[in-house]
Amino acid sequence: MKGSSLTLHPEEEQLLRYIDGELPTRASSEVRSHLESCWQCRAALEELQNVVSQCVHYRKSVLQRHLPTPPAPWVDIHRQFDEIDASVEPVLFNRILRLLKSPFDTATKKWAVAAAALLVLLGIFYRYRQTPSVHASELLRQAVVSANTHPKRPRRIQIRTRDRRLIRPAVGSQKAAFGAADATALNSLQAMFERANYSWNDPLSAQSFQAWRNQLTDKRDEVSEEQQDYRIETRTDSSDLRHATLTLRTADLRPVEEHLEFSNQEWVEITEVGDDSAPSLSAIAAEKNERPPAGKVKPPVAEVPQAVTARGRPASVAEELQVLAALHDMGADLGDPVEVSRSGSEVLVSGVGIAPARQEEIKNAIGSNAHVVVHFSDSPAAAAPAQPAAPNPTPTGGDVRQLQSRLAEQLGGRANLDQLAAQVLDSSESLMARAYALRRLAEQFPLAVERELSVSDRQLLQRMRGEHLAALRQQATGIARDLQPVLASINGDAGTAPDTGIPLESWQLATENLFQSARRLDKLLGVMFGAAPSEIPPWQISAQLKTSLAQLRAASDSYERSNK
Amino acid sequence: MSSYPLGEELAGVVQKRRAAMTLQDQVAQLFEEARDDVFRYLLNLGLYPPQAQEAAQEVFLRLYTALKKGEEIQNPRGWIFRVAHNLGLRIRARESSQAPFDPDLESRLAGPAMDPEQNLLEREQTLRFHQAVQRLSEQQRRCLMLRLEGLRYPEIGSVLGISASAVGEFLRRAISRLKKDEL
Repeated sequence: MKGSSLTLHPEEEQLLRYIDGELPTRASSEVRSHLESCWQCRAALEELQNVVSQCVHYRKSVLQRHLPTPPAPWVDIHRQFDEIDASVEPVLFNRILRLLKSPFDTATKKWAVAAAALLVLLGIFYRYRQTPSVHASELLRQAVVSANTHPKRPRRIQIRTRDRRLIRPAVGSQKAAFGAADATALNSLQAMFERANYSWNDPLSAQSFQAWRNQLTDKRDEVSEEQQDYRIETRTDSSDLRHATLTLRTADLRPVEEHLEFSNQEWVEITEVGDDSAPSLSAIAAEKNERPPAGKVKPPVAEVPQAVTARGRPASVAEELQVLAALHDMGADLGDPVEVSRSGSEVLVSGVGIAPARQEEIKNAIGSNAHVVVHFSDSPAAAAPAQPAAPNPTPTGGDVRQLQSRLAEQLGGRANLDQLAAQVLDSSESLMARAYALRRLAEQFPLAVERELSVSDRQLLQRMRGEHLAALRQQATGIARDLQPVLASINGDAGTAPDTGIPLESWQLATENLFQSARRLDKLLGVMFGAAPSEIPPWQISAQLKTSLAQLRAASDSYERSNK
Repeated sequence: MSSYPLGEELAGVVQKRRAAMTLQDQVAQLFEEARDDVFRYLLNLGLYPPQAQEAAQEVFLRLYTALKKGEEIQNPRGWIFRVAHNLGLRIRARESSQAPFDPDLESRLAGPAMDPEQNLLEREQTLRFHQAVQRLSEQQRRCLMLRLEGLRYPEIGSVLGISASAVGEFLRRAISRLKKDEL
């Protein structure tokens, strides 16, 4: 029976992975041999296959047949390819060069020069438009030209460091308007910039970036094209400034943002403030003591000893934690859209389907570290991860159907049952989101890694866990309360909490227990309301649900103990 | 000057052209096979048909450019959908003031002149399944659509910017909900 020996039968996800060929070889052969011996799982597999077939049928009979057809005939793609070939292959260009070299009359030459210039322009346009791999130096040169040709207006920049946020005019290094503490910070920043030979006078400019870059004996560039801007990233080992990223607005190549990371592991983020309107000095003075809003204040990052490698130092666990904490504080660590991973020198924050405003919030909260790379696939339609509509509980089998009829009767009608199902399944989804978040934390911060964190970082991690746990408990209580009328009237186990008895030594270990309990509950709820198939005899579902709720309570208790 | 070097040069040109033809043919073949799928995928992202068609074409041109530049692309189909997805979202973001395209499949499916060959029961089933698909969460639906296009979990993950294991979980939830709604 699945309820008592969950581990023996493959879970539905495993079965799906199995038929999709996504299981590792060993797991796959285990599932295969299990399927050979287990009729129940074979039936479950068949049900999965049925849904898969229906999806395929849906694609064919609905999507292919009823979505609009292309409004125009498709282009002759070969011709387009030829055009690409022509612009990539410098045949024409060479021909014109040859013309230039040949002893023609000056009129022809003039035309040839004009044509060559046009070709170069077209080439640049094409490269800018089509490929993100524009050379950093070329782009910087263009940006410098653009800056020199546009009228200069006074503008302000915001300088952010680990623990400070200052606003000053973009050009100039006066500190008169700042208080003593900020002036000290500015002094040490200035010293840092000077050591790196990077202009402190005008830090957010293509020219300064270019000047710094030109003096490097070794450098690695990367140029990427974002939605509305280009990003030039240069890494080096030959300067105190190890890693600099300059963001240029595509429209006019104006520098709007800069991340600088120094060899002493300090980082500085410089952004343009406001638009072109000239700020008054009083406005600057008024903002001189601006601090990040309380919710976004980040505790100092732990100094994890990391060797500075030739390819830039690896991103630290503490940095990953800071990112997670920032996401957590805005509730972005729940559910689908945002993922955080650490690889090499980067903490990668990725997500899809996040509303632009939310993206900004997230970027503001986390994007100020040069090691953090934020990558969003934009989707204006999704302000929040779309919640599935209220489930429409339909029984999966005769027995469950009977159970549901009985439930409906008890609740005073099918509509009430539907409502209860929607409510409980939603709560369960929220509960699972917390369980997943807790499990992610346990995976990302195993004991050995956690030990490397500073005391304040460990406290931060603990706070996040505490908040997830509290929310999980709240959902569980809500589910128990919602189910009370149903569970109370069905005979079964009184729901005594099985005493786990085992003192769990770490929260990491307690997490798995908690996660599995949450998952079991989620599954049983799915079965009860017809959202998932099961081999559990229907008359046992309610009893098992009671037990499961009690188990979850016990698991969250012991998690709480381990979290102290 | 003998004509020898010229002959060599010509042979080189012919060879190059032949290689170019092969690449062109390969991408053109893929274009023939997959353009409608990409077009429909873009419609589902909310692009209007003319935009979707233009974007679909652009995707294949980018594929050709990338291959020509010597980029190694393991699975062109996965690549195409990834690029189409990003391009589609960009277009949508640019035109966010406009409501996303809604093909209103529901009324098409419910409409009387849908398909004379289908009997009433089948039609109801199709409509119900469609409604069930619409009820999936956005991520679940996207995973499902990409899986239907033949992408593997890691490829879907790279399109959507999530991990392969998250794809597995979304797909399980999607299938699970569809099964429940359908039975």
